[in-house]
Amino acid sequence: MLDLWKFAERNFSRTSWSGLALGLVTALVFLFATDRLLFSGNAHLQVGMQKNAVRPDERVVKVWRDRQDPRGFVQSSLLKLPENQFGLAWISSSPISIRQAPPGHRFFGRAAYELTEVMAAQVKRINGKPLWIHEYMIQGARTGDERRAVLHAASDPSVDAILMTMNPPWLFNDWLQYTKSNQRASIFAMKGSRFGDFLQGLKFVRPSWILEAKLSRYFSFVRNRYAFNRAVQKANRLPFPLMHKPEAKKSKYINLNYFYPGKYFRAPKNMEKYKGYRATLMKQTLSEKGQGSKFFKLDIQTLAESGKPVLLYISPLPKEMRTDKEGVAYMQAYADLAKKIIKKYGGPNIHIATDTAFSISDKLIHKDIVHMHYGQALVDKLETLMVTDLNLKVEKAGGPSVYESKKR
Amino acid sequence: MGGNANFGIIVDFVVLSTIVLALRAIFPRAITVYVSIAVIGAYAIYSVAPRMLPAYLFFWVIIYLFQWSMHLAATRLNGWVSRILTTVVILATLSPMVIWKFWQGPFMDWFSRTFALLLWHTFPQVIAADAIASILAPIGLSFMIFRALDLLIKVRLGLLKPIAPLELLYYAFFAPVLAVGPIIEYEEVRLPRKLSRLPAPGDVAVGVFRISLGVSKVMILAALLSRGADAFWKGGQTGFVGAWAALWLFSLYFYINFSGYSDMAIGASRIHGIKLKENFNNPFLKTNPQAFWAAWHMSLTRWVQRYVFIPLGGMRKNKQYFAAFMTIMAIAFWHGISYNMLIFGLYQGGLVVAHRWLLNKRLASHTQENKTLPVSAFKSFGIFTSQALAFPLLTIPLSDIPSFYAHLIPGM
Repeated sequence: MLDLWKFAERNFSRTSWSGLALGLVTALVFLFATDRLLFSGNAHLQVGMQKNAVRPDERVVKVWRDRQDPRGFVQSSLLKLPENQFGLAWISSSPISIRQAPPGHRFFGRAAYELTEVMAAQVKRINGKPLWIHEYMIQGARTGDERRAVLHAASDPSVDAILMTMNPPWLFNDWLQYTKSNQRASIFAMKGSRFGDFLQGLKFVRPSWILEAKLSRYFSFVRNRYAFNRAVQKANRLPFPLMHKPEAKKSKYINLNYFYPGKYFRAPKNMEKYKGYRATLMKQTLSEKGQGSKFFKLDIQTLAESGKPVLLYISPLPKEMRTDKEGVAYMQAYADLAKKIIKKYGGPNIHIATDTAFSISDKLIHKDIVHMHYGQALVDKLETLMVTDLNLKVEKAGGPSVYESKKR
Repeated sequence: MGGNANFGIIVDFVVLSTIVLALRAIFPRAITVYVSIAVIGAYAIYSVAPRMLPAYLFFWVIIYLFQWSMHLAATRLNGWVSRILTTVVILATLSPMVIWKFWQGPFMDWFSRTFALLLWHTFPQVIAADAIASILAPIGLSFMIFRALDLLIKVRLGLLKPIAPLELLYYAFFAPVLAVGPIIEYEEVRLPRKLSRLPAPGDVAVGVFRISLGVSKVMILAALLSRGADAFWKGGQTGFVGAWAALWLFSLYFYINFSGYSDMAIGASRIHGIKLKENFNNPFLKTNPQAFWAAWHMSLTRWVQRYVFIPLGGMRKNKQYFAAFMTIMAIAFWHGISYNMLIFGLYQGGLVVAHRWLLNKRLASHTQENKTLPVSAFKSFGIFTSQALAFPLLTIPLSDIPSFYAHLIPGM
């Protein structure tokens, strides 16, 4: 039927080198032509976008695609942005995700939302243009993932300025540099990637993925394979021959914290409830030799070359940590390393705010070291810094508070 | 590091084959190919999940020692001491597979924990790569164990001398077959000491064709067949006709997908002039169960034929039914030790034994088999359907078996 080994032996086993070369070239030309003929165009490109990727009413667009989609990010042409918009890229992992907001702090009645939405609701215009926030965020993104977001935002002409969250426990943490996704290899096909990206990537990316990423530049069916695959798949349907959804079996041994020796779990009394995250935070490699530092250095080089105004800030930590001497000292070393790298590899367009780690903690409600239940003060602080440090003209909106408990 | 391990390992190997070919052109010796392919194989395992590499290395160190034990049993020891040593070595080699198949959950946890901790304490540099691994099950374990057993038994029988550590690592980490087979024999991959600087262009051409065929089967045909089966199945809400359509499409998917991977493995090896034995020979065109098994996953069938069927007296008239039945049971339990596989084995074994009995009866009565095209096509369809009925047993939970098969009966 389709076991064609006799056919293969009969027809190919006496091939010469020139015949082989001719065959390969012909096959490539055929593939290329077929690809242009059948797969070019934007069919299925919407597949892989995050839910509510384009929300014109809130002027927030989610640029990061579904983590399984190897294309990584949505092209700005698909985001339906107005021509005269001011694009502010906000690159972050989960610290900008507000979770379980208590009554009175819910965003138009929603207990789960992103700070990007709050900022878009409050700031109408920047430099006289309507503000559109390009949200580069997937849950669990780590320094290696954010590297790709930096490359994308830096080279996207619709992005005018960049805000970047420095995640306190993860930025320089060599224990975990990526979230699970199919997107790691896309860096090999991204505009602006550097030799350092190649060296870093080799540690975490398989050769087959690099091949796919390289081919995806030339072949639409490779680039859009996830979309094509999803297009023929009916979502949420049980596959044959299953009758019930199988129970998800998750081994606890993939949980990073499980492997920490007990000694890392010590914490001052008032930090007891954060001790797991605190242990993670204090397990970073605070030297330029660390993996995280190398990614950060590459980010800074790319951002400097882009010439776009950039504001990096340390995501706020809970107020209890202010009295944790060891923790504060650690964060000071963390900030010093970041400043050192920026000084060495950055440019005048890059600004860093390290005081955000503790200066506004009183006004926030933290869920844990990374996440918050309420984060208005951070948005206010960032708005101020955009004016003072980035020299942007920020026009705030009046009107009712976004935290009124009603649905928009 | 994750991803589709089965596909990824073979494609990784194809990509890195350029390095093997370049090294071979500079140093045209078998040792060049042995070292480079072993390193690529080890890297492929690392790529799936770094914690697996120390586990697999440990296993093959044990196998290296075991082959000397087998050599000792064959050459120096006599009688019961030799027999006991042989039995212990075979059981010990089989044990990881048996434990894995019997106690999958606890074994997975133990495996994952032990080797992750080992790695994390010895090579903390790889923690970041290990933490994002998607697969924590010991990939290709059953293939690896049957590969090891083949070597050990051949050493015990005096058919092979114990092989050197480097050659063993090459055999152990022969990348194209690591994830989904076929189950190779050492003689298939052994190379002459001196090699030509380049493999024969015909070998490369056949290899490239087989890889392309495999990729097309897996990525296009199998994917479409699987989606087609799901579409007819409608999440279990389908009727009698839909269920049968889904069953047939799923069976075609099962075959195309598996044979596609075999094509890729055989093609990837052939690029280097290494000719692996075939693993599929159009099984759904066969007209009886015995011919089906001789054409389906042939490397496994050859293995069980050598080490189960023949030792159990399959070539003798009075033991042939028992041997054939036990051979099929061995195939079933190789896939998993469960009630599902017991049913699978009983069903398949029953078919093979019944066919053998009918064949013997016909031979005795000198009745000619009708081999006209319509009759052959009808028989092939029968074989296809009889196999299609068994494949879901590999996937569905035991408790769902009655309700699943009820879908195939009109009015149920």
